[in-house]
Amino acid sequence: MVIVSCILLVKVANITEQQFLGFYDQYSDKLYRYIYFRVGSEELAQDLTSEVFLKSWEYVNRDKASSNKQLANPRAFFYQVARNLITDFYRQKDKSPLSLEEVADKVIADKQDGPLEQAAISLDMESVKAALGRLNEDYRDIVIWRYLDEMEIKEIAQIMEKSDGAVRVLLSRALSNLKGVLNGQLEPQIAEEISVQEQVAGEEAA
Amino acid sequence: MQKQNLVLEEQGFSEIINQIQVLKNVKPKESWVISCRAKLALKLEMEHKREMLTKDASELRELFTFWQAWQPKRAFRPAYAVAVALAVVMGGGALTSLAALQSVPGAPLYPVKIALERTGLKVAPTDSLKMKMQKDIVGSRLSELRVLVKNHDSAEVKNEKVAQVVESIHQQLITDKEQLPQANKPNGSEKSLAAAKIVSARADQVKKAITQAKEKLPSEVNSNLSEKLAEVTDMAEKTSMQALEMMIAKKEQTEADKKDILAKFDEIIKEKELAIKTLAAVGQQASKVKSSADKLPINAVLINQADEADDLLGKVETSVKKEAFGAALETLKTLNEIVKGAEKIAETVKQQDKGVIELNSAKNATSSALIDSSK
Repeated sequence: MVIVSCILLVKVANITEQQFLGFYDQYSDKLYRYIYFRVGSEELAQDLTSEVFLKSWEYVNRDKASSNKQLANPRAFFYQVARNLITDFYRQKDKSPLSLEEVADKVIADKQDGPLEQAAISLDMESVKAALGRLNEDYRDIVIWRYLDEMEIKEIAQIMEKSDGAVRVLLSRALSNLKGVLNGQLEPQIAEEISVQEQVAGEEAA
Repeated sequence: MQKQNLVLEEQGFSEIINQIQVLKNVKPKESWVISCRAKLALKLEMEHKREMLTKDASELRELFTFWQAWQPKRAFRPAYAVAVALAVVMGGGALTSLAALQSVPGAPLYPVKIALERTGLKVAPTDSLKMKMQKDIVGSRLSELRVLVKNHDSAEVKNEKVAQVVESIHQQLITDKEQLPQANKPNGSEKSLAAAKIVSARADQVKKAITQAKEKLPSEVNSNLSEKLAEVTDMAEKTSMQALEMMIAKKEQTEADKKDILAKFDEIIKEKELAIKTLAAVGQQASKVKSSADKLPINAVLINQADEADDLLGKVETSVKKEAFGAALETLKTLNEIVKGAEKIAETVKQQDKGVIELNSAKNATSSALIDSSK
């Protein structure tokens, strides 16, 4: 699954070691943050972030011989690798992903000795963080990418392998859910199964 | 439309979005970022080196494919192991030498190549081996010349490198020429004839390679290199003729000797035919270019000399057919002088024509500019 999705993104890989280290300088902080919000552990986030770069280099290097193009969208590519690694991590360890409550609790607990110490953390921030941890995976990803990493809808659609319209609908729902969780009006929608495509089609038809 | 909806919706959630953006303060520890980068850089570097080693190893494996199939008999295995160990110890030097042999002027290993060649010549145990080594050296210089001519160096660098190779070829030709009279001793006539044949073939090779290089080199070739190329061509021509003279001078020629001489004459005749045709073409071309400075019928002189050379070439052919090689050689010498003189005239004519064409173009450009400005 990892390989297939990476091939989709790595249209062409012919980059030098120096260019690759340049990508590390550019994206390591953001990738770490994304992974941290997904796994809720500083140590695990560090391990997985470094693995993202090592795996990405392997893919890029493997494709070098057969291809001459350039990394189409390095940021989207790294996020896709990160996303797949998180999934693989939980699968290989034979344990299910942390429950949303667990993630939220871990994120809060980690603030004592984690990187959060370095910033002045307001009570608001704490509650948003906890609320974010209570969203389902897709909602959490989409909120992080859009409002923390400032990605375009198109780019998010590329990572999630969804249409732009589907991403817009997802984003809208994620914000509504987040607002509900923050106001204490809405319980987290765990394992929410929504046919986004159908809804987008309906909206477009309307 | 959908984009606008999203913007409007986001405006409705602006407070939450502002709250989310505070989470941008979540960052990894700086010490981890640095150490992770260092580890990644090391990994990339190691992989790069491993790739290079794998590539080198596979190339070496291809080189030694023949060896892999061979296995020593049981009794010889210890000796074989010692030999392999020694080979490995000395391998570094051998590989350097191997790499040096592929180098061209300007490459770091080129001086090593020259030093190896000189040492090889000094320690050559027999004359025949020395001759063979000299042949290889000239072959190597000519290959270098071909590589340098094709290279995309700047004109200045190219001039310098080509001059270095041409000088080396020149020195070798001088050595060859000096060796010829020594080889012409009564005792060793067979030996000297063999040497003459080798020298003759080598001189012809040099002539061809230099002519090709002249044609392919950029027009910015400096005058020094141009003179050097002309000098080496002349030297190669003389060496070739001297070698042919020795071949003809041999008493009691065998059928094989005659065959060699005939082949040599055949080659020379073809070469001269081409040279004469070129001269005639230059003469005719010169008559088409109008120049006020061209008062003398220089083109007529050129055409005349080409005709004379053509007549002499006919005589050479006749003499060769009669196996009157001595007479053919004498006529050939006269013919060479005429061709050489005519080639000098042709070169002057070419330069003049080039000047006239450039002058006419400049005049045309000036006239056009004047017409434009008057409009």
